[in-house]
Amino acid sequence: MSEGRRERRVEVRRRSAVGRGMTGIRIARLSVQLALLGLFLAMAWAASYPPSGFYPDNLFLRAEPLNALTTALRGFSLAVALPALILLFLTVVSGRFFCAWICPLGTCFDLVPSLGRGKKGGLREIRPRPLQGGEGKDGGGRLRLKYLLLVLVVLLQAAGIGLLWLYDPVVIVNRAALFALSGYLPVIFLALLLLAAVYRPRFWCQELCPAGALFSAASALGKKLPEKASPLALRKEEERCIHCGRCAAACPFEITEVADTRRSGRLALADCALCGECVKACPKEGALALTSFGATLLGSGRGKAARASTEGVEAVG
Amino acid sequence: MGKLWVSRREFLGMAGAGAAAAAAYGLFRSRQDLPPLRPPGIASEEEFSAACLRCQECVRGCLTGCLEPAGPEYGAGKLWTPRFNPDLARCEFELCGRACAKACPASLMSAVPDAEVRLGQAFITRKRCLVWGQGKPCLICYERCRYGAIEADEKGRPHMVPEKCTGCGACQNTCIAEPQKAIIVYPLGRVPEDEGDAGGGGRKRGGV
Repeated sequence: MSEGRRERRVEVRRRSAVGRGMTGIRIARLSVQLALLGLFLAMAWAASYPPSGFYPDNLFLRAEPLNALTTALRGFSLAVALPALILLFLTVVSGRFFCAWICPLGTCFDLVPSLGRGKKGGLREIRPRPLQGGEGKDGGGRLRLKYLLLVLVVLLQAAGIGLLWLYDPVVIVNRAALFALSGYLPVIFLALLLLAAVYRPRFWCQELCPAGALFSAASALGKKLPEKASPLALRKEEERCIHCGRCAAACPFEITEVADTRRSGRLALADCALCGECVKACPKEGALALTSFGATLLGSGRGKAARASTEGVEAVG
Repeated sequence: MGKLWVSRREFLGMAGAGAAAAAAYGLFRSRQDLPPLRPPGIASEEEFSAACLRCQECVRGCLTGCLEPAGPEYGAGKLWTPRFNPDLARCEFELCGRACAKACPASLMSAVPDAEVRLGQAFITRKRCLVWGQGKPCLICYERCRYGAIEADEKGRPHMVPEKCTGCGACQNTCIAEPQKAIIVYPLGRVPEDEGDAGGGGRKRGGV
């Protein structure tokens, strides 16, 4: 416990997601994000008459489980719900990967320059906070507003008051894209981009997004699933961890549990979007890894990636 | 551990977002007398405006371009929901294969088969009509109606046959009366009762 109370003060040079510090995992994730955003926009553009016979033009909207859930409240149909069920299943067995890899709104947040990400090359003091020790609760043990919003949105929808159009991330971007095509101003989308730019890039995702809350809740269902059974997982080796806190400082979703937890093995954190930023920031070989069915996709502390991520660290006290 | 907390900044941010949403709802009360016309095949206006995602897929997918997002004048509860505007184009629900219904990710426009679709009810305001009001010859609406819902009497005046009208909007789209069109599609149940044939204006219906 005395060790657990130790104060850590880490200053980390933070960079914008697109800029210096492009390394393997960032290039990989950004490529996937941009490809899927491009597909999303292409499908929105192609949604004009005639409807495609090969695939539903609204696949992204259908696959968003919050929409599928409220649609199922009015009448369940397996054919309509199938994409959302597949996505939910993948979320249960791996985690909230949708937010960091697929979500078009999340991709837009990652693309805007944000004050919350720190000025390019500038120093920003990150979170001097006591090491919690023990298990390390998800979300620091606090109740996030997004869960309340999720319950509220679903209850109101069932009661005949629709709020989903205001809160669903896929809908917001879809509307923004089609508004832009027809000359309307996508005000909600621009307001959220502004929030990400002046405050924290993923504030919406972590604190407000009801779809994100549904993904978080779904991923909590698969918490006990072993690493070998998970298509995408974050693994920690507690014996190798030096508790420097760089992983917590690097996390775009501002999760500290990766640093705080004393567990080894698969870290099934409800809010973790499996973006791999913590693995990239970790200086210790083998302490953190992204894995797929037990095989390491990306390990920490190896090669150029680790050196690039540690050169920005100025002081560890 | 286990304590529920949010920082002051976060609380203010959340409170601000909530207040903005509440203010938006309070500010945008409907200023229209009539609810908007809807795409074909919805179950009910209440269910539709509650469940519609305002994703604009139907507006994008429409063959004729007869849909547009409803503006704030219809209230925040209907903001950006698809509005069928016959002034833009007529609805071709029998030709397009119900493209809007296929585009809708919430499956909101599949409630009614083609044969039972009624988007609204056309109504002739006689004082604005070229024939009825000014005695000029004009039967464009009669010529354009595909359903035989407009009949012309021996004097060349148009009469509505409400039972046959699907509300497709071809007549409104084509009407040349100015400054206001003489034939307008009204939402079902909101058709005016005076000055016309739709609500039983008392005139004998002319045969052709």
